[in-house]
Amino acid sequence: MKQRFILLVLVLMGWNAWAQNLTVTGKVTSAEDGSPLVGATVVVKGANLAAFTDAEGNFRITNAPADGILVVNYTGFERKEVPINGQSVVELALSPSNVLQEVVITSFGIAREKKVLGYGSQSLSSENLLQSNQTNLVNALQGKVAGVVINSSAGAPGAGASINIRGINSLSGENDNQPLIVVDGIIISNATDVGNVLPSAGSNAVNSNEQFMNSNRLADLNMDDIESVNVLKGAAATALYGQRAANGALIITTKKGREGRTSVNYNFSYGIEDIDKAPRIQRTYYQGFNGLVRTPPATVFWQYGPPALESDVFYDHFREFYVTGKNMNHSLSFSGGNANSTFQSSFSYLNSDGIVVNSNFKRATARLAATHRMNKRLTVGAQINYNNNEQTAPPSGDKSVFSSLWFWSPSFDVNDYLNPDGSQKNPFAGIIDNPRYMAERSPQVSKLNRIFGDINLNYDITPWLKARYQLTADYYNDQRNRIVGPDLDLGTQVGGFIVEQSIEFRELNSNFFLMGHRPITQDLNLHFTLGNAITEIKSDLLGVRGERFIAAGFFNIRNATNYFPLRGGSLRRLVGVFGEARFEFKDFLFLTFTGRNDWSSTLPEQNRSYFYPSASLSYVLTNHLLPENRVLSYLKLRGSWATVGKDAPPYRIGNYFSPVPGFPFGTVGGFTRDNNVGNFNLQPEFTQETEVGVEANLLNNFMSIEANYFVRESRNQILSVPISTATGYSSYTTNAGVITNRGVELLLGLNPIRGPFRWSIDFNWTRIRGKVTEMPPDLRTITYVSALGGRAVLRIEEGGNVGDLYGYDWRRHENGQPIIGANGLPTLETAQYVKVGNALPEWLGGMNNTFSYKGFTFNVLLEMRHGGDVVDLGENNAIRNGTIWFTEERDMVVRWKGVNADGTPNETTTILNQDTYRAFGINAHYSYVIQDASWFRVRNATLSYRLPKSLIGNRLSHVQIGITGRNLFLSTPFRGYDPEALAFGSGTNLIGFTGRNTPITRSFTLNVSVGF
Amino acid sequence: MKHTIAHNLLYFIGAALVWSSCNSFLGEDTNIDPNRTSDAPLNTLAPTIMFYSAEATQKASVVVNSYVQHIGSVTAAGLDAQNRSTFAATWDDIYLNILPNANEIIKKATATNSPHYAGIAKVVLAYNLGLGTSLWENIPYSEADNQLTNLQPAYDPQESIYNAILRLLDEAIEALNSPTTVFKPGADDIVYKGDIAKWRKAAYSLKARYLLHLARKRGTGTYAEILDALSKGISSNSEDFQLIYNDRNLSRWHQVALANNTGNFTTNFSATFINLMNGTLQGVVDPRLPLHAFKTVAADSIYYGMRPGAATGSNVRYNNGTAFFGWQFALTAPLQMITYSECKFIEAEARMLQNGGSPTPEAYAAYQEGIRANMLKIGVSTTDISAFLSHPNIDVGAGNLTLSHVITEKYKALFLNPEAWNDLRRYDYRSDILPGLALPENHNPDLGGQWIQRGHYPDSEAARNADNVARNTKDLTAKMWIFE
Repeated sequence: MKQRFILLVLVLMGWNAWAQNLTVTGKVTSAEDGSPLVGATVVVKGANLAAFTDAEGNFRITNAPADGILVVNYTGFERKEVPINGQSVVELALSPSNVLQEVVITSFGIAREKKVLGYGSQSLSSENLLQSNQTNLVNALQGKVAGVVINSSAGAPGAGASINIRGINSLSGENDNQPLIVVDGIIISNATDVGNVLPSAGSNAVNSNEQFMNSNRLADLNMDDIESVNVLKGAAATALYGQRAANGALIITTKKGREGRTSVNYNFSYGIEDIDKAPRIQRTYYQGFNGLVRTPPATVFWQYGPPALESDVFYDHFREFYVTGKNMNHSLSFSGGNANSTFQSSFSYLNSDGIVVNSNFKRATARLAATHRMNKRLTVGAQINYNNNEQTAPPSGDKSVFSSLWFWSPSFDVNDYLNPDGSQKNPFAGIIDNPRYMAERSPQVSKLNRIFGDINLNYDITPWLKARYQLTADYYNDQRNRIVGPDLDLGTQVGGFIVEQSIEFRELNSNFFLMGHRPITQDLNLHFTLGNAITEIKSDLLGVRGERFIAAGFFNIRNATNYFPLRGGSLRRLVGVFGEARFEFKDFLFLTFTGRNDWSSTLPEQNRSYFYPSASLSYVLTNHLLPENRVLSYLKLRGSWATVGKDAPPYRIGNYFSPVPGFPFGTVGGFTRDNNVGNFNLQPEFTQETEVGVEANLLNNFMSIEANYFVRESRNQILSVPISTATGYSSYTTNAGVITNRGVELLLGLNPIRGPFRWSIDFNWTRIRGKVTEMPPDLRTITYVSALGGRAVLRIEEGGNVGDLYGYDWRRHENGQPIIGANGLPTLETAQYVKVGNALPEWLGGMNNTFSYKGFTFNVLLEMRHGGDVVDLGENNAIRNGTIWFTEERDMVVRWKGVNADGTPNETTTILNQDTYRAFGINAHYSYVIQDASWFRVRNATLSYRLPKSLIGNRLSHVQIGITGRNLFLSTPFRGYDPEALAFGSGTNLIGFTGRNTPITRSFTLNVSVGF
Repeated sequence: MKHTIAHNLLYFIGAALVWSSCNSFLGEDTNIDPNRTSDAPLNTLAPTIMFYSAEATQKASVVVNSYVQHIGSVTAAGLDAQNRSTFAATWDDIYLNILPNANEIIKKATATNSPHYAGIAKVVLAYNLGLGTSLWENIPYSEADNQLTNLQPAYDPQESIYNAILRLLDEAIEALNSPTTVFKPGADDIVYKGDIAKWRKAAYSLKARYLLHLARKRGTGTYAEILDALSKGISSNSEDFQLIYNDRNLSRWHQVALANNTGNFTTNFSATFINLMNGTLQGVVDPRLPLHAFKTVAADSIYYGMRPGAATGSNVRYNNGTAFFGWQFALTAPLQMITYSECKFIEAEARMLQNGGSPTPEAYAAYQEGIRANMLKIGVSTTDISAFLSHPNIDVGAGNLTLSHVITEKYKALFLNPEAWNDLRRYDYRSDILPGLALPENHNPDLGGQWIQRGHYPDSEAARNADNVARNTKDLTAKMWIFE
């Protein structure tokens, strides 16, 4: 028996060697109109020889067995098998298929036919991603993917954006619940590094992440390099990646060189952007206080003066502060190859000026990717990507450009910001800064250098067994500099300060796989993967803050009196072993099992090793019980169950002592015991997900439907549980709590008009609810953010939902009516919070329309977000200062609806005046603080024209020009700027706040693309 | 060629597998943070607890000294309207920054036979328990900082807290009396620069303060104990238990004044305090007034503070935006915890109470010395001091001294010191004890016209230690055990 098996292996391995080989060339065309099919794959069955067709549809395969069978695949066409029969030229005409047999790239870059997958995933093509002309991939996904919530942090160039797939799964606000990012198998960081930019005294900001809308590192990618993105949503989809992809994964595939003619592509775009929606200023009352105009030396700050006169000048600083942003992008790529080697290389340069003066993002990228077939069995590939970025970001958050702008009086021109001697011109000196002056003088400059790449080896051991090894690296260094002069509010207490930081990140991955397939019986095939992954992630922050400048005007770290060192960093290592077995029964039943065991450096030794399995099933009914027919061309049911284990962040076990913040005290240093202590018996946490879905194609591609329902439960979360500080600690890292996310994802594709004029529609719809099903023992609430002096709180409670917002209500009588006091006004009940909203949308929907006729394509993406409440952190300043339109309602006598303390109806009247708006009353009631931020928007519209071949001649492969408008229309009940900009930056779960950062913009971009 | 590639591939795979199997790749130092230490020496923990004591005191006094009408909120119906406060920042300083580090010092000092460090830690701890119990009455101590043996530490009754304070002070005195200590506090002692005698005096003075609180419970014999403790306590301004900040580490009151320069007005002088200084109530202008307050309207002849709870009516500021800072708001101002001046007023009161409430010559001398000490500290010229002390309304004569005189002058000397709240509550906020004291305007309606007696427990405790909070929460107007 054993001998026979060995013989079998030898026979299979040697099969190639015995056959006679030849070079096959040919052309792949459409059977419909004879046009060449570009980029079709031609594979020799069972031989692992493959080629793509070039621009003329030609292919060439060397060393093909004379008795082999060519298999041709092209998206949208029927797959075709043609025996070579010793011919050296084979012509292949494909007929359009009824059903798109999509191939998607899954974990570790493994391509799979979509029909075998037992889980949901969604693929987007380069074309689709470039429609919106975004420079950040996360933004480019907006409105297109079901199950995904995307938030921008600001409209500033290079500002971060965050993406959450299938909900927020953590009970901690500071945790990053974003997906894993993989580029051609290279895991790259999408971190938003915050650093530490606050002075030792004089700031009310609780943390640094609202101070600058730092880039998320996915913003480093050149969008033109991307061929496709596959969004792996569920735990089953990412089972092989395991814990790193516990929040899903974006599998990015870049453009590759292909055998044939060298092609050169050049893209150019130029865009302008402008402030879109802005709140209205108050123009009825002039500057002043208590109805009287104020003139210096009296403090001029408030807009509570007398009714404005005809002659009074008003400046609409909510708009006029902003300038027109401009951006320009060049991108050049070369690609090509021969039978054995391919290469792709690209260069790009982006320069973007934002709508706030002195805000800018520059990005230069360079890349080289190549593959080489060393011999029949071994292929080597490598790529290297280099980035050089510079982000100049305006200060946001507390004591920033934007908080000042909200306070600013429209009676003064905000752009008149300099005195003749070059100092700050500011009628409100000593209260707020001139925002324009601050933007000019106090940005944060971040300079980033990044390299990522890999080396990979693919070895065909036998025709049915392949080995692959990939070593990947991602490294970046971010040098940041922030200057705050002593003449700015934030700098006065400490005599001005400067922060210099160097942030360094490095990730290495070593991945080894064996992949193979074997028939078990005639109808049952086994496909298997075995793998090992080793990961090391290291980060470092080294910086220094210098305070109290000595020589005026010399803003250099050497010119400071007091120095405070900044140091941080972490190291994390992970070793994983995993396997997958997929059983394929005929062509309709596909059952996949996976298992992965990880060993993590961040867990206690005894709990370091943990295993987690998954199972998924795909059943293609149209290949079995319900044969394809005119109505139903494709129907698939699927279901999956998966568990993902997850380790802790580094250094969460035990307890440490750290230097006292602000120390040394004079010259005396001191340490204090850290407020967090970690459980010595910390366990891995587990997320469990069950998903069911259906995929269907109806009426000969007229309609395609995909629907998913999932339940994802994250339990035993590794969490810094807040504990009674009387224990000597404020938090305890342990395993606790359960969050259950349930969601529905719908995708609907329609092709209402086909033929020369085409119209296609893609709908997507998402609804996700994250419920706190179990809190840590004896803990009632966990507060993520308490903003505006406690007026708005983002916190969770058992039984509540993730994203719940709480605020203050009026004191109410037993009969539910507000109690009106002797002054005719209701008073706030501050002893308890009421739940008044949720920061997450009830549902999200997108509708992407594409119209095409000859060379013209028109695309319009409509997006709707229903529900989702937002706190405007800036508007409160405008209410208190009477600068926003609705504070015009003054000097009028009103009778507040409510009751007296004894329950009788209120008869007392009051006069609405500045006290009404300024006092902690109306401006602190939830109805003012927490707003519905539902919106409908035209996310983008693009018109492009591809010049006909007759016009461009043979030298050029294509010339395309296009124009894109972004955020062309926005409808929302939200009063402030576009509510999409997140106040606390990307990279946290702190959602539901906006208003103190650069507003989202509306833009127009002209795009020219030329191919040689 | 083929061989080399295959060989290299094998090498990579082999290296990866060896790498992963090696325990040092995942274990050993991998998960130990290189930027923090698991062990901090005594001389790095001592300055920490001293610093946070001053911080905790200031954070409490922002509220407490609004309740007692030293200062008031610049928005109407603020804290000086006796709205509830949880004193959360002080709570966190005591339980997160002081207690754990003090316990660590005591443990290390005991292990290394360094009683002077243990003594200092116990003095600091006793002071902070005193501060804590004055804010919330029952507070955690016996189950606090418990190495996580109990995630919901119980709150000890106030009586137990006072017993713990006195025990800690006695132990501190004993430790500080020790002739030998292996590790000696020196420059790391940011309060007394390693002068152990001064720490011992501070311990005695604190003992006197807390015995005075307890005297009504313990009986008249306590006054002798108080006087005995005072005789061994702080005996000059140079021995005050206080922390002096610097231009690198700004004092919080200095920061409050600086914030006034950036439009972030929070508090200002209360009329109750100013009226005791501007001649309105005493018939004599206190020479300390221009050192404390800046008059914004130069033409005004009189300083006015804000009417409590009303946020209006003042012509004063903590600072003038340029050179002038009120004494307590200057860069170099000390954050006072217990002072010589307070000790003299404790003595004056104790001697009178020992004498059935009637004055004695010693009490009178202590009263005068208390005023003089505070004036000297603040920088009043000796001429002005003599003039003030000899004014008939101040120099009332040994036979005419009343408790009101003592408490009034103590109240002035305790400006921005939270101990002032204990005095007012001990005397039931009586306006015949402190002239001019009246319920603020916009008085917190929850108090039903009663004076505030306590703080609420912090929200963090309500969320994380709910049962104990529920067990110990009382009405804001309910008197604490010590004042019953």
